[in-house]
Amino acid sequence: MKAFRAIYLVGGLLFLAVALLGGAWWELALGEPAKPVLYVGLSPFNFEAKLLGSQIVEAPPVLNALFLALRALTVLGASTIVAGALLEGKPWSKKLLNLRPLTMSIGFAILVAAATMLLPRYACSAFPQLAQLAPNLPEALAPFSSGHLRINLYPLTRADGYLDLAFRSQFTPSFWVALLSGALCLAGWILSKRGACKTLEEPNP
Amino acid sequence: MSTLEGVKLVALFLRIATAAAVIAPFAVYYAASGSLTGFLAPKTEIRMPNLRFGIVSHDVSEGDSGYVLELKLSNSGDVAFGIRELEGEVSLANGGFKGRFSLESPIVLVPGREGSLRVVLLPEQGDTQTLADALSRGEALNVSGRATLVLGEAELPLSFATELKLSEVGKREGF
Repeated sequence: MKAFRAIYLVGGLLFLAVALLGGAWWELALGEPAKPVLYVGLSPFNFEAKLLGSQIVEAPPVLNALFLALRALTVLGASTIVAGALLEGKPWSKKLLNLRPLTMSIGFAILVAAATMLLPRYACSAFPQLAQLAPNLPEALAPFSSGHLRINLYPLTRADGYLDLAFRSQFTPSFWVALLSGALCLAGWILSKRGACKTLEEPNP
Repeated sequence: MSTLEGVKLVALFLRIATAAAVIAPFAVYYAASGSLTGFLAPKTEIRMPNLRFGIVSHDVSEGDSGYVLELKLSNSGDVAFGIRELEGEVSLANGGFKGRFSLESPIVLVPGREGSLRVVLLPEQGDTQTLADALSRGEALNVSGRATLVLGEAELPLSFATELKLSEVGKREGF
């Protein structure tokens, strides 16, 4: 098996595993990570929001349909990569190789980064009380934040003081595996292009 | 079958599979929801837990390992509430007293129950009579430290710093 096909194969299998196993790609947890008070998990295939272990918001059917469609597309994309990598003798096998793992994981990261940057700023400007109550909300929501959310007690109790609550917003291992599979597919694509260029440059006998 | 035909066939298969993967979930969910409104509207079933507790009474007494501040708490909400860890510093705003405190034993109150939160206080400056007099006069306490709250099955580690008047906290219910 050529190197680029082996790399595509590993990337495709990783992406297939991520799609089938599910799990959040980005999560927000208020409280002890193992027993959070508030948990929000998001991936291209699922959304869940739990307060004290109970689900608080159920996604509308249109969103569930979108998640299912994305999961089906992901499984299809990963399966075609695996098939394309394995069916070396078929002339159309390269048609099956694609960069969906890369586009999906980078697209998701951009979406989450934009949402976590823009939504809290919008919320704080729309509701000034929120900015008073949680002055570091925008920073806390950003992935790889400081790990605490500061609650200003004055608006609640009229007594000076604050609470620093344990707070985590992060990309999960599932996301990093998806991104790794995307990077592998990109490496495979570059290697296959180099191979094609070399073939073209070789003089005909 | 020629190579070109094979490639065209594979491309056609992929297009059909992609279209089916997108259309089928939308069709199934739309059919199951029955109407366009039901299909588009989110089912927001926000079941906010009712976290309410009150301080029934407070007392300061001298114990074996220092002074014990006992707060009698009542859980009037519908979620278990407790404190697993607590330690920090307390001082009177006027500077007459300063000490360190820690939780004697963890406490978890199930809804509708009352219980005592016992905090051991080790004075570093001043004595407890000064503290008791100041509390009875409603003077402010500076309290800072860290704690782990238990809310139902969840745990919430936090650090805090506040200026507190116990007489006002006793009247103030809620979380």
